[in-house]
Order: sequence, then structure tokens, then C-alpha cells
Amino acid sequence: MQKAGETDVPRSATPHVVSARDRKYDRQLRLWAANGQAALEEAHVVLLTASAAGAETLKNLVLPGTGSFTVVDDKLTTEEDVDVNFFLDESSIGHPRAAKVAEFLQELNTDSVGRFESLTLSEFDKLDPSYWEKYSLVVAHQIRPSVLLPISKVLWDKKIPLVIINSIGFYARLRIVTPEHTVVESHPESTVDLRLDCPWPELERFAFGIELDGLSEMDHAHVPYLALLLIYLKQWKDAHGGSPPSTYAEKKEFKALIKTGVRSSDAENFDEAINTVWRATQATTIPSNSQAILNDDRAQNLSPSTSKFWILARAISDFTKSPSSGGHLPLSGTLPDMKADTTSYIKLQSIYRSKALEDRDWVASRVSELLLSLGRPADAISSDEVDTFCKFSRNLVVFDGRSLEEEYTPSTARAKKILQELEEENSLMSVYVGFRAVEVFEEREKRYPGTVEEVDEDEKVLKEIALEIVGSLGGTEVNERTASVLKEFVRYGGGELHNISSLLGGIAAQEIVKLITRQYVPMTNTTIFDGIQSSSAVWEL
Amino acid sequence: MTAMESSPTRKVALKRILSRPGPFVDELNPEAYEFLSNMKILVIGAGGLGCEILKNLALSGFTDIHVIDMDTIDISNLNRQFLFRPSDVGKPKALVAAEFVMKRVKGVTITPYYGKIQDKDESYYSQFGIVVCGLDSVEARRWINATLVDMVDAENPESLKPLIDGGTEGFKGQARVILPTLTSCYECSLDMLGTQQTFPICTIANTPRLPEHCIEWALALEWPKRFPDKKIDNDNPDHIQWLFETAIARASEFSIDGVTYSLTQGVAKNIIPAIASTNAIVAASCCSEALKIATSCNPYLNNYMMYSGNDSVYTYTFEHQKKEDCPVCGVVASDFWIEQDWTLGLLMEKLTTTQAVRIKSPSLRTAEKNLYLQSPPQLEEATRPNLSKLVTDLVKTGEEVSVTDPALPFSIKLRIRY
Ligand SMILES: [Zn+2]
Repeated sequence: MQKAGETDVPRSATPHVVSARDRKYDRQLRLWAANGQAALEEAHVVLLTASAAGAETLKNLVLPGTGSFTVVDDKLTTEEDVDVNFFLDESSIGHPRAAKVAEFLQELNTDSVGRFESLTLSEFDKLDPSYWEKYSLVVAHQIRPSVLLPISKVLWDKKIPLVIINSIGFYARLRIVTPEHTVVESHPESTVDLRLDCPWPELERFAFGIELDGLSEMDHAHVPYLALLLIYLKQWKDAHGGSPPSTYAEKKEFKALIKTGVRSSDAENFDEAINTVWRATQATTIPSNSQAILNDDRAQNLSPSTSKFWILARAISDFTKSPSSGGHLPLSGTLPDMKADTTSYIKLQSIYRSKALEDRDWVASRVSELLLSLGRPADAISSDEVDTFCKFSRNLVVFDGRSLEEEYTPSTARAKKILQELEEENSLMSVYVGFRAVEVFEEREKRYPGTVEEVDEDEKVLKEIALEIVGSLGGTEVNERTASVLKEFVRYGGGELHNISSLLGGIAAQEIVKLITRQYVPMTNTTIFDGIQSSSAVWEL
Repeated sequence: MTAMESSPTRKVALKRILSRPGPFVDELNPEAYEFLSNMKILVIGAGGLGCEILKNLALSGFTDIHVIDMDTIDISNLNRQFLFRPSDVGKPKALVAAEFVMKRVKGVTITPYYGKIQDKDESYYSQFGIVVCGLDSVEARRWINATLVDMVDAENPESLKPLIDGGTEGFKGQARVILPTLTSCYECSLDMLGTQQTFPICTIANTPRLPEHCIEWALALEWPKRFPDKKIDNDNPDHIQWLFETAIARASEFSIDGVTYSLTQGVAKNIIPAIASTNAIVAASCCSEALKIATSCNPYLNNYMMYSGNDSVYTYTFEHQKKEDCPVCGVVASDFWIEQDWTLGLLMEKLTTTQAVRIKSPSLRTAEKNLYLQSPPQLEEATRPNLSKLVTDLVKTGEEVSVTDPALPFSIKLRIRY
């Protein structure tokens, strides 16, 4: 029974239809949008070694809809595997791990296509390099360096990112190996770029067209603070031979000047203006990060095979040198919210947007010219891509990776950094050295340290190996902290703890999503997680 | 002992760690493995974090796990809540999750409860050794936190139940260990929560600028006007559609662009982005701490870890300090400064928006009188005239006001100052 006065919500004649797919992925589309999702759906990720950490990594990629995945492994499932890996069960024991893990992962999402291959480690180097071309990214868990280094070389040459994961006891390690990674949509905290120090004519006309004195109380309290700043900046400059407030004292005085304009207690817009004085009087410049990218050889010397990123960077570089830019980057066009009446705000917003559009058009036509000169179709880069690039031109990211070989060769290793870090209290670099030492131990003994009943000998051998590693980098000793970490490694006997493998799988998947979608900023290039201290460190090694 | 526990070939890696001394622990607990498998552990929430937590605990040697959740499965859960399949949509999360994990992991018993945490009392909570919380509701966490703090009996060490709490938002999250009454509690850190996005009513009504303002207008002003007797149901597509169309009309009237269906849904439901990987990180961190607390195999987190993956990989681990004036675990009332011209109504409004208070429908009383009570109706009516009176006429400076909310099992003591 309806209560009196209760009305039914009318059913719309043209309801908005959300597809089942968009509903399923709603919570992630809010992070990486349709273009990020499309990149994910095109990706094919391969996992080498069907460990718990590897399966957990894939789980976090299959759920959001990564297009395809392949599990490569040559082992039969053991009880020990089932004890730590959720994507195996009692019935898997004795059956190929790759098949079982792929099967259980496949159940998570039918949008993702899973496969498996039984390849033994020794077969990897016999593979034709073209084998890897079907993959967009390779995840490798705990593969001994003698096998992994050659694979990493092939992948490096083919520019296929390699993500290495290691999980032993409470310790985890993640390494990203890729020669170059570029990001346009870095999702910075803000893309606001106000240009109050160098307003263009339309913006000035808007601000100077406002007669503050003639406004009603209500209108006066709704003048956007940007306009207030421009008005008072002009007043200041007129009184100071054309120069803006620059010293601390002058800025204080300038704030006082703005304050003289306050009429009523409701002056939120004036408060906003005063709070923005510091930023408003900063000169608009090109951030050094972006400038370095514009100046980079890859942008300045284009070739027919140059990627879109560098062609766009070149167009932006040309833009900043053109008279129409005044030496600035294209305007982002983003206007923050502020106390204002609707009409002024919308007007101001359209002034910023038109200017951004104007800058964008310049860049777009330059991009077409560059493409033609490289013998590529003038529309090979879409206008959306130009748009996004212009919008984020202050926040571009380029990482030049370091190869695994560079890390593992003493003459090119970051020796100084490593030795320095080892001296820090509770250093996580000790865990890194521990992982390296365990790798060598396993390579020599064909078993992990601590897998025997009597561990004293393993502890001794592992410490000797660590000393070899530290020694090769120019160090002279294995300090107390590192010795403790090595003992802890022996305690683990090379086994995985599910929690730590799951945590590592989470971190690895976040990084992989960032690499594949080319959104957000991935870490470079090594993360260590210490589950005892519950803390992490990142270094470029 | 079950056959599984006695099998020397099972849980080898875990037993190895528990049976060997380590350089970072003083003493080895020889019964750690037995203790772990006999401990009852409670998981609150079977959603994004909860699915992960159940899996992790089952693979960490816990064999007697309980789980509470009041929700049913929605299609938008499937991108991360990996124990659920499309055919499970509409079923209770706690039941489906428990069944799935038990089927997959041998030797584990999971007892589900489909309902609210508030349905249970101290006698229920006191049976557990540890409580792990994977909730997205601030209110529910405040409730369980206050309940566990209240349960502590200084004479009985068993009454102290470690509470491990996780939370995520997008690529970010946090895990923390709360030892009720000993460390800072959930309430102590309420002011660390991100500010709730709120828009002043006058902006929404008179000077909209953003698409969000138009949606809020449809939601907060137009809906109650148009359907005075109907509560909005965020899961009803007709309702969301109505909001969307109403917001669109408002936006075009003011030449504001950017109102989309997805944004309308986001604002109306206060949707927080959520992904599988972040849940994995935070849940695993919580469970790793549970394992360490249950077995003493390594020192546990003291007491807070923040994770952020937006820009590189970043963690910040620190000891969050207990607040002296925490309304739950503190000992003194906290000062609340007001302006001379505030009415009681304005004070109420400020309380609902203050970070450290965050209360939805406050009732206020001093030791002597009721200032404003939300219920019962006759007392509400009797105290309503106070709303327009000045606080300074009702409360002396320095006087203590107790603030209660039906959703919270405790009262907040504020010392009003002016
Ligand atoms: Zn507290």
C-alpha cells in the first residue's frame, strides 16, 4: 500500500544502459578509465614458475580482465605447493602445476583467456627468441640467474618488460627490467596551471572588466579569487614600476593590500585569494623534468620508428619555442573549484579551456607535420592522444631502465649505493644482499639454504657467498645486520609464506597494471619488502 | 589433532619457521603450531579484503576461522572478490566465501554469520584470540573497536583481543595492529581519515559550478522535495536514472558540463575505487601480523603501515600515538572551541563535519539537562527549541557535553570552550 502523497519514481523513456562488463569493472574504471582497460584487455602476460607468489600476481591481473595469460612450469604439484598456493588443491597433487594453476585462475574471470605450457628451465635458452614476441610482459619467479640472465637479454632487446619476483619466508623482492618506460597519464595530484604571472588578453579582459566598487555585497563576495588576484596584482605592479611582489616582505604587503578590499564577514573569495598569493606570484616555468624530456635526443632526432610519445614530445618542444607559446608548455585548461557565482565561474572556465584548445591545435598541426615528414599518416596520432599529452605535459615521466646484466656485473653495479645503504640501521639492503646470496647458493648446491636438518654449515656457506658479493662491489665485510638477515634466510629453507607471497603478488600486479596501462608512475627498479619490520625500500639498482 | 596436523609432510615451510630460532626473536614458542591451529580467529567483512583475509588465514595454519558479513554479492564485486562467481550474485558473501575456502583448503573450518556485527555481544567476541577487520564502513569499525576496548578487563589478560584492521582506496591502503587499551585505537586516529567531500548547501542551491554540485542538488534538494516519503535506493536503477536526468537538466541550465551516469552513481553511492592488487597487499599485511602475533615467530607491527602505489612503491611504518582525550580509550574529555554567536543547531552541524567527531545524528546532553535528543519523538520535540538558542546560553564554558549517536556504542565527551 502506498502512503498518501507517495509518488513513484518515474521510469525514464531513455534509460542509460550500463553493460554488464562496465558494471563488473566499475571500481577500477574509476582509476584507469576505458583506455587503461583496453590496454589491459589487449595484454598477454606470461608467468614463469607456478609458485604461490606467481599465481597471486596473476590472480590480481586476471580479475581486472587482462586479455590472456600463460603459465609456464615443468614441475608436478607437491604437498608443499598445495600448502601455500590457493590455486592448487589436494586433487592437484602429482599433476602438472602449470595446468592446475592455469585452470584455477581461469575460473576467476571468463574475460581472460588462460593457457599453460610445460617447459623445463634448461629448455629456455633453446627457445627461438621469437617465442617471446607473443607476450606483452613476462613475470619470473625465483629463476636462477644463469637461466634468467639470457632470457632478460632477449626480452630487453625486444623491449618486453620483465618483472622478477622472489618470495622467501618474510622477505620479498621485486625487480622491473625494461629499457624504456614512458607515461603521459601520470595522475598527478593536480594539473592546475593558472598563469597569473603572465595572463593572456582574454583573461585580463575578464578580470579588469570587473568594477569591484560598483558591485553589490552579494556579487562582491562571489568574484572568483583568480580575478581578485589579477586585479590587485595590476594595482601592485602599477605602483611598483611594473614588477610583481617578490620578496617575503613584499608578498606580506601584497596580502595586506588584498585584505583592504574585504567588505563583509563573508569574504571566502578574498581568503582564497590571500591563500594563493604564494603560488600566484611564482613565475610559470617548464618543470625541469619535462624540459629534460623535451630536450632528449629521442625527441630531437626523430626517425621513422620513433614512438608516439617522442613525436608528441618533439611537437611540444617546438611549441615552447614558438612565439605563440611565450616559452610555456601548452595550458592544461584545468580550473580548480572556487567561491564564485555560476556565470563568472563558467566564463572563466571557458577562457582557460579556449586557451588550452588553442595551444592544443598548434601542437596537433605540428604533430601532423612531423608524422608526414617521417613518412607516416598525418592522423597516426589521434586528437585524443594530443589532448592528453598537452594536458599532462607538466607531468610527463620517462624511465630509462637498467638491465639485469648491469645490475649483476660488478663493474656496472650500483656498488657505492649498495655499500652505503648496508651501513644504515635495519637496512633493507641487507635483505637484497641476502636474496643475491641465496641465488648463488641455490645455483651451486641445487638446493636452498636451510633445507637440511643441521643449518650451521649452510649459515657459514651463505655468509661466505655474501662476502664474495659484497667484496666484488668493493666492500670488506658482512656486517652484523646482514649476518642476521642471512641467518633468517637459512631459517626459511627457501620456502614461501603465503601471506608474503600474496603481498608481493599485490605489489607486482599494481606495478604491472601501471606498466601495461601506461598510467600512474611505476617504481624503478627494485623493491624489497621486509615482513618482519613491515616496511619496504625502493632503489634503482 | 587432525590427521593433517600430525602429517609430517604437510605445512613443512611454516613448521620449519616456527620450530627454528630466529635472529629477530628472543624466544621460540615450542607450541606455536598447535596454538595457531587451536586459536579461534574472527574475520569481519567478506568483501574485497575479507576474501583475501580468509584465504590467507586458511593458508597460514589457522584452522578455526569465523566470518561475519551482512552484504550480498553484487556484480561490481567480481573484479576483486575472487571467491565469488557471476552465479553467486545475490547470495550472502559470508556463506559463499566460507564454503569456497573450505572446499579449496583441506583441514580448515570456517563458520559464517550472515548479519551485522551489532547482532553479537561480548560473549560472542570473547571466544576469539584475534579479530581481523576488512571493512569499508567507518561506523562499523568504530563499533567493533569500542566494543573490544570495552571488553578489556585488567585482571584478565585473555580479555584483550588484538584487532588488526585494514583499509584501501584505489592504489593506497593501510594495515594496523590495535591492542585495545594498550596502543592507539581506531577512534584515536579518526582525524587521519581523508576529509569527506561535502558541498555547502548554498553553493548547491544558488551557485553551482561543478557537475558534482548538480548531482548533489538532485540528491539532497530535489529528491526530498519530489518524493518526500521515499528514501533513495542507490541500488535501484530507476532512482539513479532519475538523479542523472535531474542533474543533467540542472547542469544544462547553468552550462556546466561533465555530468555522466558514472559520476552520478559515484556521488550518490560515495563510491571508492577498489582493485584486487591493493586488497591483496593490505589483507596479506594484516594476516602476516596475525600469524606473528599468534606464534611469536617474529616481532609484530607497532603499529601502523601505510601503502601507496600511485607514484612508485611507498610504505610508511610508524607508531601511531594513543590520544589522551580519545572518547573510547582515553581518560580526559577533549576541548571543543566555539564562537560566541553559535547556536546549538550550528554546533550540531559543526560536529557532523569535524574530522575527529564524525557523527551522523548527534544527541547532546550535559550532566544537568538534555540539550537536544534525536529520539524519542516527544523528547525531540521538547528539545527542538534549543536548536535556535545560543550555545553560550545553554552551556557554561568548560562544561562537559556528552554526544551520543545510535550507531556508536559509546559517548563522546566534549568540554565546550568559548
Ligand atoms: Zn583511542
